[in-house]
Amino acid sequence: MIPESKLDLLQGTVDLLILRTLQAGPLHGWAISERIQQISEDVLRLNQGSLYPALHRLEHQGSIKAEWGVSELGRRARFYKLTAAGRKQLEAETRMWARMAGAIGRVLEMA
Amino acid sequence: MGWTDFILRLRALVRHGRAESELDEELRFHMEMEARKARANGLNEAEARRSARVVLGGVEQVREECRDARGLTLLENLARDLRYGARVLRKTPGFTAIAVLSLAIGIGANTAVFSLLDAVLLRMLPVRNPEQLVVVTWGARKGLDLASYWSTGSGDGHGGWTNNVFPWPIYSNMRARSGVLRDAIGFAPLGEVSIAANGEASESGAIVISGNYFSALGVGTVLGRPISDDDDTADGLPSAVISYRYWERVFAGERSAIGKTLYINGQPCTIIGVAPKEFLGVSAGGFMGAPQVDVMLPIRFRDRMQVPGQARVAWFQDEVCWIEVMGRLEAGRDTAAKTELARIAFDNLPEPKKAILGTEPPRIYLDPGSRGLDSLRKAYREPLLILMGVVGLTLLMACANLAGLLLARATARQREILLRMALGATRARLVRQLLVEGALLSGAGTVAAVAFAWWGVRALLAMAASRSAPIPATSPDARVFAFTAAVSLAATFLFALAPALRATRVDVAAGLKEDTVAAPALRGIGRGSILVALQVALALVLLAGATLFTRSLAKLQSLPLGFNPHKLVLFDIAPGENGYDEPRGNQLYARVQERLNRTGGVIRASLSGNRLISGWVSNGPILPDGGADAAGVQSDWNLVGADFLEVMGIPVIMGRGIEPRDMASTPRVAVINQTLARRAFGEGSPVGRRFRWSWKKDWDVEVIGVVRDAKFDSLRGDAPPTIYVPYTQATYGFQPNMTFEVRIAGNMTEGIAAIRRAVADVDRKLPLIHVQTQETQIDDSLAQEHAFATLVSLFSAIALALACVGLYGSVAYTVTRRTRELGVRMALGADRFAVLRMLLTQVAITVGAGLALGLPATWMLTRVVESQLYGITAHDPASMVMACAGVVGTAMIAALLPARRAMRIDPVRALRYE
Repeated sequence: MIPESKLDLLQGTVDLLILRTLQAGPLHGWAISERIQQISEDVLRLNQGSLYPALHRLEHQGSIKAEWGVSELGRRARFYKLTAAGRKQLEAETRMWARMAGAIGRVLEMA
Repeated sequence: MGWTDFILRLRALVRHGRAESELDEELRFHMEMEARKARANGLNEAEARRSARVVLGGVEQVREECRDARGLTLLENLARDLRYGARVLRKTPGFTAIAVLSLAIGIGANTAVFSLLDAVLLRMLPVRNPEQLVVVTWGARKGLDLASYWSTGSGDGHGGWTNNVFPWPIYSNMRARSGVLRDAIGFAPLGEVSIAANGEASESGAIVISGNYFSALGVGTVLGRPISDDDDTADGLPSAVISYRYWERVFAGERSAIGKTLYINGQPCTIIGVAPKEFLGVSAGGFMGAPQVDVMLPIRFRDRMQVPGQARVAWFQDEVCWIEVMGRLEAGRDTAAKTELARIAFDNLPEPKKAILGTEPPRIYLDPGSRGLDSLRKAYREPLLILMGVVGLTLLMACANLAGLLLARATARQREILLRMALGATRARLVRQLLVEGALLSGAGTVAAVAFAWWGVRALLAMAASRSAPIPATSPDARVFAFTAAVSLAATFLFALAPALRATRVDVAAGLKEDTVAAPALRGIGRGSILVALQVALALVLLAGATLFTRSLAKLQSLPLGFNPHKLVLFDIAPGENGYDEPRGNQLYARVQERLNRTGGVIRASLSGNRLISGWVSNGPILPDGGADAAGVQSDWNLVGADFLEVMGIPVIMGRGIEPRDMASTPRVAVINQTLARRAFGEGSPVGRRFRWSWKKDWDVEVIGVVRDAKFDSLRGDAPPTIYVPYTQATYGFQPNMTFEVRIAGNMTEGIAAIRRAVADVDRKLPLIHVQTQETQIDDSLAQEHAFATLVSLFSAIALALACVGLYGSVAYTVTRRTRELGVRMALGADRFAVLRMLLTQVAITVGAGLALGLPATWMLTRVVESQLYGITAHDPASMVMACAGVVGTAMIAALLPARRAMRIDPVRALRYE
């Protein structure tokens, strides 16, 4: 069930993915990981070893805010949502990522 | 890391527990969801759970990384270090105890002495703007022959004089008319008076103060109101302000004290206020004759304190000098003040005195008054500074000792440290942990030091203060605590950092390979030995000091007195306070003397105006008949009863002593001592010659005897010229209190009890004051020297003990470390004594190095204390030899004990030892 080769994601990239996922609305940790897995068609899998430290780091930086809420299981879970600073960080990092991807692409395409 | 960041981290640390459990809950939730997903995909319960856990990876790692992300690592590590350090220290209780104790003693002693230093030398008066205060004294080049009460002043031998007390007209005009000296306050001690209130009577000190005393100083009262100018009336019931400690003692701190009546020598006053706790007046050490001031009265009260039987003094009209003056002066206006005040002083002298001065005005002297009158400071300045040096050295020793111990321990833990470094601990981490251990030790030591300092200050006060030189009660304050903390912090770095750095500066691989840790034989002379040598040097310095002070004290105690102090009981009675006047008073004295002579156990009794070796003396110039010098011969004199000289054991050389028949008021007679006989009458017998008192020229006194010289007010110096006069022939009239000297046979306690009964027989209402033996009186006068000798000896003993502990540890450690090598030597044929000799040689080298270091230091440092020594030079060879012998002897014993263990090494076992 687990693919043999996992893509090693850089720390900054994990942050970007989380922030983008939360742009649509607040989610709890497991939902974030599921969403990323689904949308990337199972390529990117965040286990809790990468996810939770990243979430705490982002919370510590002030990019996301956490609140306890009621989950679909009926028990409480911690829901994260973007802050204004987080939105700004998301914009900036998306632009950065686009530039990077474009640059790498051009280098690969050269003859 | 910004400020908010730090707060967040701190808050996170505090909410650590809750954050951890929240994370756990979050992770458990994640696992639940994962398991549900697995079940949805068709796995059964157990497999679902297992797969969930596998997917998720190690929980502990997650926790750890989250914690890292939360940024708690530094503080959490610190907490862990503290717990580990505490555990390590608990496992070696002996070492910990010695370390904490030496620190406690070192730091505690420093704090105690610094507290005293602060209270006596540094602390400013607790008044408003103390730096503006000045003390006013005066003088002139020509003698004005003014009577003074309770004055300190001096003559310069050429007719010139200085004085610290002023007559009332001069003071009141200074206050009223001076523009430069503001807030001029006047005050004067009343000496010791009997104070009765609330059913309790005691003797204590009292002073009179001008109406502006409290307002000028800016001091209020904690209860009631202070004395003001309105209280300064000549009639009505006078107002009194009592001291805080008197209030606590007699009124138990009750508010009802205000308005109650107080009796000063029988005179009623009303209590109107209680002074603040820290306000001890402008002279923290009290005044002459009134060491503890408990009552402050308006200055007009002076008129009511006339001595029965003596001529009435018109305090507020005559040119009698009795008022001490202080005031406020702005910076830079010294000269203007002096000129103005000199003019005021001159204008207010009576005409005859003005004529003597001519055109030359008297001189005014202004001294800084921010720390109050400095009698206490002068007396204690040098001893305190010396003591500070001594305890400073002791602290240094304690730190050196500790450094040595910690170094030895760090080296012994080398294996553990190397292992941890091999496992990935950074050097910084290990150094931090060793530092935390050191900090724990110094923290524990500081806490113990605080308790020690508290007790130490009390002990110092008890030892060094005596009746005549009181030190105000001090307790450590904020500045002192700050000082202690700084010292302790410095100590930590001194003894913990160096060993920590050294222990971790090793090559890991090489270190782990060896099975006994490091060090070929020669490196035994390493840092440890240097520390021991340092301690030996310090111990030598302190021991030399102790020897010098002890011998100086012994010399003082064995000085020939000129009289016999043994089995002599002294006590005062003060019939003047009970209303006795001249004829009845003198009869009372005679009756008491006679009754005492009849008491069983009493060999003989007599009385005198001043006790011997008490610091008190009366003196003045006499004019011998046929003498050429108009100024007269300066002499001390003592009023005495019949048989005084016999009771004191002062032998008569020519003529006779004072006998009962001389107690009549005429003819006027006196007995003089050898020194005065020579100075006043030259060679040959002065018996039958006459002289006059320079202040009572109409009295003609005949010399009836000459006695051997004897000490009078102090042990030091030569015996002064002395005159013994019958008390019934006192120039000042009736003496309201006298001291009795009673020589007893047999037991002291029984003797004193018998004396009490005898005096009660004569007058039941006469209390015995200051009951003491002459020997104790003499000891009292040596209280300071005694305290010094005791303290320095104590600290040198501590230093020596520390040095021995250091030496013991060093040798023991060497033996342990080199057990293998020694075993090899013995197996190869060296006999046990050779091994012992080898070890002791190394010790001898270390001790020798210490002596080489210590002797020059002792040479230089003992010079500093030379002024405190009596009869012995700072470089007294006998003392130095004794000190060296002491250090070497104790050091050798300390080294011998563990070295003997080396002799008992079994070579076979040693070779197997690992």
